[in-house]
Amino acid sequence: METPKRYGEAAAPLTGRARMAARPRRRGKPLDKQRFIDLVAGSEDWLMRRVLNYAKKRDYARYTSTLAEAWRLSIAGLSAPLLKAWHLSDQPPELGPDDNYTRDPIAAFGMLEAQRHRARGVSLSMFLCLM
Amino acid sequence: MCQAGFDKISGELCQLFIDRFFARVEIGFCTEWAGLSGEARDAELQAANRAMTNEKNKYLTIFESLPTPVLFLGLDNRVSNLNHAAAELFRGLQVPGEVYYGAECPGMVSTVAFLADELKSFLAGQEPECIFEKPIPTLHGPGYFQVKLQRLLDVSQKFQGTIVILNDLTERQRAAEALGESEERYRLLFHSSNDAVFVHPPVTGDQGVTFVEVNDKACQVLGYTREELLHLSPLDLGDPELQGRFMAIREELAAEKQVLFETVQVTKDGSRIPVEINARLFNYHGRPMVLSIARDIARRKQAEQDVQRLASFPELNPNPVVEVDASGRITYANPATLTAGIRNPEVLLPPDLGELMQAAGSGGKRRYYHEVRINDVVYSVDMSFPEQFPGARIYAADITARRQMEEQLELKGRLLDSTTDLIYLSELDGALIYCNESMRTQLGYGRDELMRQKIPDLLTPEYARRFEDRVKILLEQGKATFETAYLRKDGSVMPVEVQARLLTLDGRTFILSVSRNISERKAAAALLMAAQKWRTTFDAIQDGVFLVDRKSRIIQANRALANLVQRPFSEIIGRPCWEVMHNAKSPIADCPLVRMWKSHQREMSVFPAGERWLRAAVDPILNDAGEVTVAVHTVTDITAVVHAENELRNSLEKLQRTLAGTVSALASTVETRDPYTAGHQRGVASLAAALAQEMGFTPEAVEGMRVTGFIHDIGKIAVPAEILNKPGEISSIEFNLVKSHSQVGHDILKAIEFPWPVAQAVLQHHERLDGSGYPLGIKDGDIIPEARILMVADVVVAMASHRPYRPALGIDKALDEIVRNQGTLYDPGVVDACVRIFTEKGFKFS
Repeated sequence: METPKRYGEAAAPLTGRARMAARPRRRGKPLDKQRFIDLVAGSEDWLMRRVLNYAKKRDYARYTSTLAEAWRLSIAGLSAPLLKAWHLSDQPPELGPDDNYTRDPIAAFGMLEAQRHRARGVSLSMFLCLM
Repeated sequence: MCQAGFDKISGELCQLFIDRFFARVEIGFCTEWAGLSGEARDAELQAANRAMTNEKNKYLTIFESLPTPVLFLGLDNRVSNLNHAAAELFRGLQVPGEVYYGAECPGMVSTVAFLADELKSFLAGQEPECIFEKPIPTLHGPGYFQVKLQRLLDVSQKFQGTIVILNDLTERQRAAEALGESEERYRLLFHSSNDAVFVHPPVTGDQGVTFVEVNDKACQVLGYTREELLHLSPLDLGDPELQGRFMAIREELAAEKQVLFETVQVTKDGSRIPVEINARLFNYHGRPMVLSIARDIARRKQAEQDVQRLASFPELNPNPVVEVDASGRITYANPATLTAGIRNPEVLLPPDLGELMQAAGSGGKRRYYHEVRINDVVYSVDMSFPEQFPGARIYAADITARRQMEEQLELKGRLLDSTTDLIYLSELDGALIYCNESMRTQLGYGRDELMRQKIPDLLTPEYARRFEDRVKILLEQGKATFETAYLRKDGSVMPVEVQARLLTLDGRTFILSVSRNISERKAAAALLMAAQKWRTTFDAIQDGVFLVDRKSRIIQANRALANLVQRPFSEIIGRPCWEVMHNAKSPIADCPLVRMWKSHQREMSVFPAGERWLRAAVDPILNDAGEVTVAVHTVTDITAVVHAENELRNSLEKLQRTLAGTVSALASTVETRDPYTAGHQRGVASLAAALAQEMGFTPEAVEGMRVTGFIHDIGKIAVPAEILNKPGEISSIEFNLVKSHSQVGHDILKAIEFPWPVAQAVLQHHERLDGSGYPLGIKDGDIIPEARILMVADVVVAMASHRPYRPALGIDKALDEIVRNQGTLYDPGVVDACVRIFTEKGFKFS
């Protein structure tokens, strides 16, 4: 049975999304992980307001609740797996051509969200556009 | 990243991490979406639809079970749905949820015209809700409601219509109006009285007894404002002499419940008003209270003083006036005494003056008449012992001419003595010149004794006061016929019909009166009047009343009974009561009349009569020997009362069913979302009720604790099921969401009218005594007793049972936890009760 790859294990090609992999890697002093965690956790409100404003402005609010609490939950639903992934590895989860995403924990989260959003009547394009 | 202070490399690394993370999420999302077949997608949609329908059903059940009437108005302000309670008020829907399930409801109330103005005003504004009270017409007649209008918003907060929530205040309003009317009537009576009226507790002599109510007349007469009077005591207004008498007045009031006495009231400006006070003791809300009515008797007193003042100027009297002191020595004789040639006034004194004086001093008679003959002149001597005079005052009048006339009349008088009528001849002032034997014997006086009296002295006080008026009429008309009443020597009253006429003899005018005893006629008339009054009252009573003899035969019945049994009197009187009342041939089972014959006391029963309900009361009437001779049977039609009671009972049962349904629906709502805690609420309900019982709560309050426990976690419907059912520890964010359930539960439950503080207890059930709880962090006395019980029950049940993130810890550990934190987190009394019911009373979760 194939085991999921660890984040950052695959080498990134220089095309598409992997272009960013060409950015310099950190050398010397280790990355301050706690600072990143605090930044993400502490910016939930800011992020929520920003996304909600965008959703209202671009008319996404027609299809979903505009209650702040619902959006706060949505943001928390994204930031929690992000931070969890950050705990597991200090390297970006690069993408490989042979990766099996059905066994990837982050992609699995995406699959679960796909089911939930579909059940609520959100279309694929609607989801990706607001993402 | 820059604002957060990351250096360039770290910032880029973090950004890259986020980009890759979201790229993977999107890949997962698209993979899942693209790999879904049409069939699987349909199945998924069907499952989602079923879940949503189930969810809606739960809320629909709650909505329809609410005892509070609720209506939904659409954008056009027309009624789009209403719950069962509202349908009962305005238009009878046949089944709950009729509108929701799309049934045709042709007769459903379509508009709320009675709220048109308020709706218009509300919708023109921006407020999310508004509350007001107003009368509203319903199917059951006019009602009075508290109305709450609330905007109905969709998920995107767009206005979709208005929610109307009604709270029935009709009974409260009726009670308030009835009370207002009652008070208004009382005030009208109270303040329109011509006498000053005071209400105060019984005066005990201690300080602090002040008036509790006074009427306008009291303020007007005494010159105080109402507020000033309400700070004064009855003794503050009284004459100082009242202080000495008030003990005796108080005792008489306590014994007789009513007392009449004269005193003087002192006004604010110091004026003194003689008053006659009629004080009555009554019970006011369980407290003894005195209603005092003060009548101004200044004019009456003035008249009495005028009479006394005239008597104190004997110099002006044309007849002899003599005064003697307490030892019987003459201290004064007026000029007329000498003019009359009475050189020695002592001849006017009775020989037994000393004894008479002594008798008067001991409370005996204070006025005597006798005759004295001096030098062929006959004097009628009127001797009195005035109260404020330390001796006797004697008035003498020359009655020689009267005596001579008497002698002339004596012969004729013998003829008059043979009649049974009372005949007398008197002066215009009532001094008797002649009376016949019949008058003497019927009034019980000796001849001389009677002849010393004046007619007014022989009359009852009521007629004595009218004597002068009657003489005036006689002088004008020459003769008159009227009724009057003599006072016999033994104090009894003899009513008479008088035919009087004026008689002139030797140029002087006398009164000749013939009186006929009409005692029997008056007694008969009085009896007739009493009988008539009784009969009228008897027939005016709305209850059926009849008298039965020892053989249970009806001997008398009132009109209400005839109406009640719908029979003429001829078919009632003389028949056994069971035949008339029940069409039976013998007494019915549990007949109160049969019981009364044995118990000799009031017996009652309630029985049906066709479609009506009657209440019968039987009272015995005892003869002098204490035997029951006759029974009074009262029958009251209590159909309306029984119906009202039944309606009330049905309404209560319905309310309880509705409440139970609501609670059950609420409980199942949260439990289906949170299977791990299925049964947790039931456990808390059971333990909370047992704790309340152990702590001596009333049965109603114990039931309240059971209900509260049963739905205390209702707020968890707002917590995602994934978090509630999540095995393992939850994050701080997730925990914050879980913590919100207390507030959410409160918000859901506050709209439901429970007879217990359910919403408040649910809000506080995660608070702790030291303020370390949530959501408000309140402590100690701010936490209500119900929440103190609930928090202990919640902790014990939670620890003793299996949770998603750990196995059950057991009851011993749960008790250790609450005992360890007794007084800091948990109420000591509740903890003690909890330990007791587990360790001593073997409590088990039901």
